Amino acid sequence: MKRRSILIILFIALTCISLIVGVSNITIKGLIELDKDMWFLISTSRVPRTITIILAAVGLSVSGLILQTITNNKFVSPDVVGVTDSAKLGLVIGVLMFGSFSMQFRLLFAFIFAVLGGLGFVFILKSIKFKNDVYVPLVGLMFGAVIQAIVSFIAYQFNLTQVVETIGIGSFTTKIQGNYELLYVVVIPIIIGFIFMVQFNIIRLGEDFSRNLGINYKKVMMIGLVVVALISAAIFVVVGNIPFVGLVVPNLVSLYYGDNIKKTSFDVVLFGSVFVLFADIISRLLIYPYEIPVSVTMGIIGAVIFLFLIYRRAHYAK
Amino acid sequence: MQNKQRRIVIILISLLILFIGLYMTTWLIGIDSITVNQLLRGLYRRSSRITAMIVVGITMGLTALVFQTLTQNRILTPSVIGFDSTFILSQTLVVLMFGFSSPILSNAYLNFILSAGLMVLVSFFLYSTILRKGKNNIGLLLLVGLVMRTLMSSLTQFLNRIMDPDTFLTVTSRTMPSLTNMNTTILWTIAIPIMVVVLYLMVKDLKYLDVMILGEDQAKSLGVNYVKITNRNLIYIAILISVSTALVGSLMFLGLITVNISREILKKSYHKPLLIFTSLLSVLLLVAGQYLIQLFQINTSLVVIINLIGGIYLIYMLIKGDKT
Repeated sequence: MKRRSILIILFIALTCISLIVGVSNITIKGLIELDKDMWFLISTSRVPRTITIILAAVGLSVSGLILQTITNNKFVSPDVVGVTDSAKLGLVIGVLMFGSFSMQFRLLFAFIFAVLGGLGFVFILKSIKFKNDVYVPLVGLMFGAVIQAIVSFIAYQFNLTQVVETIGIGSFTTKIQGNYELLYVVVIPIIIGFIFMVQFNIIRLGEDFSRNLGINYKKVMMIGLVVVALISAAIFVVVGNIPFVGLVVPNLVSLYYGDNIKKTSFDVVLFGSVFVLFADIISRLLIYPYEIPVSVTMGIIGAVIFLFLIYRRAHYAK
Repeated sequence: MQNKQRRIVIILISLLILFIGLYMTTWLIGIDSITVNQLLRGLYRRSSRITAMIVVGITMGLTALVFQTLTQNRILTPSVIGFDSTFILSQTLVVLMFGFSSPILSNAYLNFILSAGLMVLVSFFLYSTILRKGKNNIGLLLLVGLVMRTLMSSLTQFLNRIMDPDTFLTVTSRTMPSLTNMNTTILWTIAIPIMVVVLYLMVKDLKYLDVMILGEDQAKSLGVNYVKITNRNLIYIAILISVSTALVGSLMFLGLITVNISREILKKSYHKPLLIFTSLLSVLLLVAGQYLIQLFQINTSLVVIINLIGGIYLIYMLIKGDKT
C-alpha cells in the first residue's frame, strides 16, 4: 500500500511537470492570474500531449501484461513478437492500396494486420515441438524480422522507404489538439482487458486446467489477442513505436507484487504511466529547446533496466 | 556418401564459376564499341566486388559456424546478438569524439583502425562476460543480445540527433555501406589482408573446435584450454565482423542459413568440411543473388531478400524441431 501511494504521488507530480515543461514558458503565477496565452497553450498543446502519454503508457503496459499472461512467458511484448511490425505492414499496405493517409483508414488496416500477426505468432508458438521459455521471444523476433523484411521489400518496390522510416519513430512531439483524439480508441480494449483479467490469469495455467475451471480457452485467448492487437495498432498509428514499455513494466511490477495480475494490474498501469512520463520529460529537457524522440530515450532507459533484470535473474538462478 | 558430397561440392563450385563469369561479362552485351580503358575499368570494378563478396561470404560462414560451436546453439549468429550494431555505435562514437573534420576521419585507414579497435574492445568486454555467465543459459545470452541491439541502435540514434547535419552525413556515409555501394577504398589495403590473416588463424583453431563441440567438460579432459580458445575466437569474430560490416554493411541471416543447410546436407559435426560447404554456399548466394537482382532489375537490396528467406527458414527449423 505504501508503495502504491508513493507511485500515485509520483504520478501526479510528473503529470504536473509534464504540463509545465516545454519551450514556451508557463508559470504557476501566470496560470493563477488567468493569463490567456498560457491557458491557450496548456489546453491545445500540453494537455493533449500529457493525455497521449498517459493513454499510450497505460495501453502499452496493459497489452504487455496481457500478452505475457496468455502466452505464460515473461519475455514477450507486442513489439517483441511481431504484432507491432504487423501493424506497420498493414499501414504500408493501406497506404499502397488506397493512397489514403486518413488516420482512421490507417488504424483499420493496422488493426486487421496486427490481429493476423498475433494469430500467426500464436500459431507458430503452438506448433513448436519443444517448449522453452527462451525460444518464444526468439521465435517472435524472427517472425518480426520476416515481416519487417516484407515491409522493406514493399517499400523499395513502391518508393515508400521514407514513409516507412518516419512512421516508425515514436514521439509525442506533434501531439496537439486535433491530432491525438484517435488514441481514445484504446480506452475500449483497455476496459475489456481489465474485465477479462481473471480469465487471462487462468488460461496461463494451460488448456486442460482452464477447461476444468469452466473457462473457454480458445475464446479467452482470442479476446486477449484482439485486445492486444487493437491497443498496439492504435498506439502505433497515432504515436509510433515505443520500445520496452510493454516488456519491462509488467516485469518490474511482478518483482515486487507477484504474479496475481488481478491485484497487480492497477500498479502496472500506474507504474507504466510514471515510467513513460519520466522518459518523455527527459526527452524534452536533454537537448532543450530541441527534443529527442521518446522511442530513443525509452530504448536506452528500458534496455538498461532490462539488462539489470536479466542479470538479477541469472544471479539468483545460481 | 563421400562421393555424393564430392559431387555436391563440384556442382557448387561450377555454379559459382558460372555466376562469377556471368557477373563479369553480362554488362558487355549490348555495347557496340568500347575502349580498352573502359573495358579494364569495368572489369576492375567488378572483380573487386567479386573479391569482396568471396571474402565476406567466407567470413560470414566461418564466424557463424564458430560462434554456434562456442555457444553450443544452432540458431545463433554473431549479428543476432548485436555484434554488428556494436560496430555502428563505435563508428558514431569516433565521429562524435573527434569531430567530423579531423584528420582521423578523413583518413579512411586511421578511422577504420580506431573504430574497429574500439569495437573489438567493447564487444570482447561485453560478450566474454555474458558468454561466461550464460554458458548453460543460452536464453540469457540471447536476451542480452536482443536488448543490446536495441540499446546500441537507440544510442546511435541519440548521438545522431545531437550531432550537427554535416557530422551526421559523414557518419551515415561511413556506417551505411551495402553490397552495391561497397567501401572500396579500404578493400585491398586493409580489409583483405586483415581478413585473410584472421581467417587463417581461425581455420588453424578449427581442430580444437571439433573437440569443444562435445561440451566444456569433455573438451577440458581431452586437454583443450577451453577458456583461452573461446576468448581468442571471440576476438577473431569481433575483428572479422567489424571488417565485413565496414565493407558491405550488416548481413544478419546469411551465415545462419548457409551453416544450417550445410549441416543438413553433411549430417556431420566436423568443422572443416562444414566450413567448405558453408563458404561455398555463402559466396554463391551473394554472387548469384546480386547477379539475379541486377539482371531482373528488382528494385530491392539483397540483404532484404536474405533476411526474408533466412527468417522463414529459421521459423521452419524451430517448428520442425531442433535435433541437436
